[in-house]
Amino acid sequence: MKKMTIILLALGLLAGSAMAKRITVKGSDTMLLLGQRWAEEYMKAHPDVTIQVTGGGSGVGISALINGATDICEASRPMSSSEKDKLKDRFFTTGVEIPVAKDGVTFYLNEANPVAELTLDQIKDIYTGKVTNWKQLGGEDAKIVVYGRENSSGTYVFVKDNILKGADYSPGTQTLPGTAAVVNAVAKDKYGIGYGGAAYAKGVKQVKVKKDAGSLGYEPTEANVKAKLYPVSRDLYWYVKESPTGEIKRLVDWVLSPAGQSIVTKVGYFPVK
Amino acid sequence: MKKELNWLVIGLVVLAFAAPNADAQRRKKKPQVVQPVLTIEEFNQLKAQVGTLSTQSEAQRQEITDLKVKLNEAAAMAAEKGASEEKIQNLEGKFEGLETDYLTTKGDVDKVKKLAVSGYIQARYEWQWPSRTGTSAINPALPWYTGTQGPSSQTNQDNFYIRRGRIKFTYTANPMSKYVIYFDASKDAVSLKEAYVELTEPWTKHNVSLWIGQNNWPFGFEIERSSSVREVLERSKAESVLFPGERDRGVNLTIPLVDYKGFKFTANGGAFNGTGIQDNIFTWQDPTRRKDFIGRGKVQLPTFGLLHLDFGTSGYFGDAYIPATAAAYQITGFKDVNKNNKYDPAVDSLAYRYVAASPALIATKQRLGGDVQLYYSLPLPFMKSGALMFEGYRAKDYKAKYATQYGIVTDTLAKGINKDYGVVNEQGFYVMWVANLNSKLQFAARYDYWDPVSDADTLALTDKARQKTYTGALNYFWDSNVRITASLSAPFFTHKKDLMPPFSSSYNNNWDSRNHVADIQVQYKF
Repeated sequence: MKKMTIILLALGLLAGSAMAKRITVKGSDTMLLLGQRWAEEYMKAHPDVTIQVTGGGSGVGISALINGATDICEASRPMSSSEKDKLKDRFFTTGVEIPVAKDGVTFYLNEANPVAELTLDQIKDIYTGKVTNWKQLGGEDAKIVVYGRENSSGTYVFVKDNILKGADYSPGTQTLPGTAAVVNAVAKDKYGIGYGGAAYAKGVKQVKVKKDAGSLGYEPTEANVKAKLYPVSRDLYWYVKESPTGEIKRLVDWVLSPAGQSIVTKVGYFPVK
Repeated sequence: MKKELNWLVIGLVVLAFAAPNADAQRRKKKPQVVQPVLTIEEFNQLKAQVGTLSTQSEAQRQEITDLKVKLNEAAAMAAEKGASEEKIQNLEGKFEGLETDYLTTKGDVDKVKKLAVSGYIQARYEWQWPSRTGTSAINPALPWYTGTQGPSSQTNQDNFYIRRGRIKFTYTANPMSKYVIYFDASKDAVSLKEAYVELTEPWTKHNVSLWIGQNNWPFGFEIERSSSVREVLERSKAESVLFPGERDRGVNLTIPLVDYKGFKFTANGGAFNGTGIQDNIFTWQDPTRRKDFIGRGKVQLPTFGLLHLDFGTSGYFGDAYIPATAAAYQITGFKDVNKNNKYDPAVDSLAYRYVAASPALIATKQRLGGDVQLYYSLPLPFMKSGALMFEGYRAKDYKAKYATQYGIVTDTLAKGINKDYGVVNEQGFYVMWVANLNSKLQFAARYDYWDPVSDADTLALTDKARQKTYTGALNYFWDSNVRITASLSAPFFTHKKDLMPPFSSSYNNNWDSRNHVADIQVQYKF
């Protein structure tokens, strides 16, 4: 029994050593910039706290939360029912969902592309491969180059669920590892189209999205997203395993405070309230 | 000669007259006034203009030279352009080729990405307490009284071994179908755990799915949880007796009826052979005419504050085939004549039971179950979250009944095919508390009870040893893949009107400590 006691004590000490003021944030690439800005500002005010922010996609962040590899998961989509069950298997909770910002899923076009508006159906047709030439959409006679994200991306899932209505992406879709890569590709490709968060739309044109052919087109601006005029707006989330305590609670409270929410606006997203 | 001289004289005379006339004419013109063509100023201006023109001309000449150079350069560039256009065309061709290659590779990669590989290994060191009575749990064929020193002489009290070595391949071609094959390599054998096709209907939003092949019995909470996530190392006694191997061959329909704002209700229905995957005789066939049917309903309530409640109920209705047995004597214990708590062949006598021949028969097989899980989340620094879990079983199974006496026994097993004769009730339950002390450390405690014959006291039953087991486990999550578990499991047994060692009526209804086990296990999961 003595041996057993020693082993248990050793395990306890090892566990205790993992309780330093170090917070890991992992997940959505859409939220990477935002998470980094929050971390920078928070660490300035709290030098004793280290916050490590990494991307990889919402799916990667949620897996890390389930595996206990991150304290906070950033996700640009809600956790699925099966993901909650997996979290419950390990931590006995279905996770605490904290909406931290709002976003309009933005479709980027090259600035030289004359097309300015697209309906949801047209976007679906582009991404499922039904429409392959800009001429079919009132543009030049040129092949559409479709850029998208990997399936670990929350935006990938959001577009698939909400715009493609569950249909598969066209095999010709060029998958890129992050929103910045999508924007970069579209900025260089006159006939490219890509999607991502509104905050990343630099050097590209944001297409106005119409609910249907008879509707007006709207850009993903704060006013349009808040007024629910922009048809593909969404919440951006932080997920934690249990009700936050200690430093994580202080960080969450700060992110939801006016100071934290002002950074949301600076980065290019929209406050939750 | 004379003629030439004459001509010379004549010429000289002519010259002599012509010379004074020319001079006179020059003297006549001299007095005329000559008007100048340019003034000095004009000349200077003209000179300056000429200088300017000269400079301009030089500049123009330079310009022309430069233009010539540029023209040459342009000509060279034009030549290069022609070559560049050719290069661009070549590059475009190469690009298109690369794009085709990319799409081909992407298609291949997408296919590979549809194949998911997962698994885990549980490497274990196990140490078994010396038993006061009974047989070795590791090798039940070795009675404790073998040898001269009694329990302390048992061999194999501690072992390193692989408890589970699992690998699972799942190929999801599209959301409508899935292929799963799952192997176990543990101890000294490799076995097939699961192999099934999963079909998901596309017509409703409920994602109703049908599993066809070898898969889990859809019964209870313990079975649906993987051993890789269970907080204690082994399943409860009741579950392991009633559902050995947890799997069978058949079909299983899963209907997620409700999934709305955290409220979920899922129904399962299945038809199976009933023999499971650990039957040594009927390794894959169903010896009964009917299939066994299983139904399960599970409810998950929305999170309420810090609490979350799930519960479910399950039912299993089928038949069991009981093979014919030949008459035989079985050693059941010994009479400890000299009361030294060990078998001395010179003094003690062995106890037997006589098992009469029995024809094969079909007997009722039934299981009912209920389970509740209460999850909680606490904002405490030393205890983050946890769960209280309860699961109860009540079952009906065939048991051979024997009236026993010291020495030769008489078999009272009824002959015939009455499927309810010899069927007895069994029951068991467990209650478990699990607490996450922090994100790395987890504590679990379980009380587990099993009664193999809960309602038949009229006939003595040699296997009627009730069992209660106390288990404590501490899990340390090394990283996202590795979990280290320290576990202590202490089972206690009763013996009631039986002849098992120590063959003394004083042990009737007393709990007997046997086969306590301590384990250290390292699990790697991916």
